[in-house]
Amino acid sequence: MNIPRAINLSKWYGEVLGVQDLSIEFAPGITAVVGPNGSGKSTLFRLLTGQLAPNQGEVSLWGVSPWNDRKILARVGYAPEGEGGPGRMPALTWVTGLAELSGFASAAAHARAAAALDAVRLAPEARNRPLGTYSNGMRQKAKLAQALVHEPDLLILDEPLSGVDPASRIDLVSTLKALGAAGKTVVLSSHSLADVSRLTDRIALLFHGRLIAAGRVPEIRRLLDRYPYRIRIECSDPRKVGGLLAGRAEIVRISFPAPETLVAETAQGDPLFDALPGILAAAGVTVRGFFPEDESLESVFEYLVKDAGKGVKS
Amino acid sequence: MTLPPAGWQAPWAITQIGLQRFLRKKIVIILLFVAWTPALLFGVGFFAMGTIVAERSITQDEQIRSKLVPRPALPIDTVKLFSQLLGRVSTQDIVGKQLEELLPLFWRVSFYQFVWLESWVLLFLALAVGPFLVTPDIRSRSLSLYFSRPVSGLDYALGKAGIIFTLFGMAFLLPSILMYLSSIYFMPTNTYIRLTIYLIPRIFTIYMILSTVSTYVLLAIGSSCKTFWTFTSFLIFITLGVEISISFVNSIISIYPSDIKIANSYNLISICSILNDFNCYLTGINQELSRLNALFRHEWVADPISGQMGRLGDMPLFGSKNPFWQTAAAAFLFAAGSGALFWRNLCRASR
Repeated sequence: MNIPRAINLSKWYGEVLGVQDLSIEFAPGITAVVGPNGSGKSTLFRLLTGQLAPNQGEVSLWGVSPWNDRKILARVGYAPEGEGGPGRMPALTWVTGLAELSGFASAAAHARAAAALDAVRLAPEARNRPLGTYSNGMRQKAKLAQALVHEPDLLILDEPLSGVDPASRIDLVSTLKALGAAGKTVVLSSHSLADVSRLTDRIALLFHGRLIAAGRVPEIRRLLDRYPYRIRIECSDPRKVGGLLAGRAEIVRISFPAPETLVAETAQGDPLFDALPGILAAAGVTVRGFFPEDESLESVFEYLVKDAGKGVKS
Repeated sequence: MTLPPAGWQAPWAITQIGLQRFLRKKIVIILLFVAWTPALLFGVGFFAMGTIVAERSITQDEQIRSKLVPRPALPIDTVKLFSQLLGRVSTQDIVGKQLEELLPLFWRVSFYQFVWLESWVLLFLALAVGPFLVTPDIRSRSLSLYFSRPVSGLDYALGKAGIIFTLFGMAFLLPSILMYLSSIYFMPTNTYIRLTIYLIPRIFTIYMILSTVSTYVLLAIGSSCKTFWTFTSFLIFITLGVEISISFVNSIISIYPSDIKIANSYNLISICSILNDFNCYLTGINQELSRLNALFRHEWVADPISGQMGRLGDMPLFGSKNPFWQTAAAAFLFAAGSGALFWRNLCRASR
């Protein structure tokens, strides 16, 4: 398929491994690259943006290697982690300059910079203030604006929500969601799984430079069949419900962690989840709610990292 | 989607971003103002003297006066006085000379003084700009922003060079040209223009040499270390670096006895000496005739060692005895080394 992708990609710095034998494709929409510190997220991003040459394998942006043909980078927008701008320069001037670097003439660059700053909702009165006076949230908005200014098809954002205040976070999340919905390919990293959950359910998990899993969170969870699903049921008589559940073949374990609470662990989440309304109705109990406890990104991440850790040790 | 930038556009955009940043710094503005002040003062001074004194002068030769009309002219007494005020011409140089003979000398002396002042401004300008040329890009990760666009390392280096060339152009080239144009305004005949036109290519040559060397040295040092150390390193460089490289060149090619070589080497341990050699070449002034020669030729370190021994101009370089080309060749060698160091640092920083 003619989309951004990495094929058997490896990069190392002397004896330190950046990424190893990594193959991944990025379809339109938002993909979050998650992983612990040092897992190779930033290295992958720099390989994708042609800043690093791979030691093995290849990066292909719509069929072109960004390392060999830098012209393709006109279709890529990148916001690195960290400060990312000269402190004395106002955001509008800075974004205009970077728009010129992307190939626009002065007047067009200025107009596009203003439009990009509008898109990220940076207050107009702040645009002519030096970047050094900005809060983290404003700075992240300015960085996102420079990545958007040339309307790229692929956006690569390294920790775009890091250190951002709640109000700016809402702005940035909605901007990124809109871009994903508009068909742009957005690849981002974040240390906050809660942020990632708000943005997308499509993830790529890196661990020690390797790709551990890629896809939608529920799909990945389904593949983790060695970890039983945990379904939490809050009702007036949990023991009665427990009695009914105990007879089902897929149930692995039942526990009562709190009063009026039951946690059922099952090898197959979906069949039990489908059957649960009927079971609860048959029990005749008052139900306050039932929900999966470990289908969240956090749980999936925890399981994957645990497995990967074991694999690395062995 | 956008088209990738044209060949010149990426370096020029980097230059513009840098210029916008530096032209917000007060010290840069002040230095540019200081750089323009001598040119403006010389220009205004000549004009004022020319118009006021010419109207009152009764001692001038009528033939020359007729040539001066309608231009204001500098009378010979004023030229003599001004030349002596500038401190580069001895009384014996001007006694008994006619205005026609004095004017070319006068402009050369003015230029000598002017370029001397400008050279120092350039050094301070390099110190004000150099530490902030590359280091902030590395620290704030702007390099990633540049190189994630269709921008190559060469574009980046050219763009940064453009900043130095533009600022040096604003501080040196433009006022120099203005100074020259204001000087030819007072020249009574085309002969004078013919006698001084050589200044224009020499101004360009010196501008190119100073800008190129400064650029690559600053890029190399600036990409190697933090702002403070860049500043310090450049200070050390301008007091020792170029001079040592010249000494190195001298030690290779000089055919003189070792004591003279040493004397000459130490004679170079001052930026004053370098600038003076540039300046002598530019203006064509023979420094031996200058009554202030001793102040410029024998520097604080050189004096006790060199004594009365060899002069820089005596030593050949690649077959040339011209001190200007000797200095320029060594400086370009240094620039080449600096360029290589910068390239290595850039590759490391962008990893």
